[in-house]
Amino acid sequence: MSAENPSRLKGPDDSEVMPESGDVPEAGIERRLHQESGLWEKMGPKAKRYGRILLMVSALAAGGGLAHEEYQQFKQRDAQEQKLVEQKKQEVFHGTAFVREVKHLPKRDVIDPDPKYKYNVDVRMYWLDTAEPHPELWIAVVDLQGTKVEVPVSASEAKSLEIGQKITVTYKKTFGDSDYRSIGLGDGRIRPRSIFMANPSEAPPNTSDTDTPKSK
Amino acid sequence: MREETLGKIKDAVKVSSLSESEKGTLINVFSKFSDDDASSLLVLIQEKPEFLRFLNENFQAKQKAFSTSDKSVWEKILEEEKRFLTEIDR
Repeated sequence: MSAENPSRLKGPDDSEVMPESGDVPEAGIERRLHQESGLWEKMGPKAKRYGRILLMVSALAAGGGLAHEEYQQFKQRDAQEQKLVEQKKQEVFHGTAFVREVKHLPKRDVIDPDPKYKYNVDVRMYWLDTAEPHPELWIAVVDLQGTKVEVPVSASEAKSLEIGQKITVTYKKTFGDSDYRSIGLGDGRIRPRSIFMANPSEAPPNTSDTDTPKSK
Repeated sequence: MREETLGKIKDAVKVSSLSESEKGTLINVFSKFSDDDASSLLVLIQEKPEFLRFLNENFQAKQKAFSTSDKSVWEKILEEEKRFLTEIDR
């Protein structure tokens, strides 16, 4: 989009239709554009498509108040920021987890009342590209005395797990909502669950994870 | 390709219920869109024809907002946009 020479724009009847430069300083205009884009940055892709058009309209409504070059710079920065946000939103980590314990919990103790979630499995997850447990990214699951991370699984899934078994875990990072992440167990299924970072000091020492991960 | 897209946008504007003056304004605004933005706009107004009327009012309000230092005008625009986009996002 080009916003230069707005005063020369003509309507179908050859009338001049664009506004004169506003009184708002350029910095104020850019601030308003940022304010406007902030409306939909956390919305879904559909709303963003509409929002971007509204943003373009703002830039043109600002007329000469926002120099072409500055608008292009703003647009470029905005596009880069959006690209980064989109990339992060789609960031999915694949790690390996080891079953540490399988517990059959009384139903009343299971947070999720769905009967298919009556088993919880205690796992630890490491990243594939490191031989050492990541100090921040490993997760452990279900400790009745101090729940850290929960990975509820179905009864059949839990019964098929063995202590020490290595399973793959898909961990989908959902940005913008720090309390809720998603976890899948090996099969690629993603289940939204609340995750809390476990205490890194509880990670088992020197657990190598350079093997090719094996799905359960 | 661009001309074709803009042509379709103009057609959509021309058959809208906006006044001739408003149509002219919008056509000029849209003619300044980049290729990508124009393509996106075409899809959106085909998907939601009432978006044109919203854009018309939105543009006029923004002209006023940018020509005045009255923050309340801008805030009102943002409120309208937020309501509109929230509805879209459902």
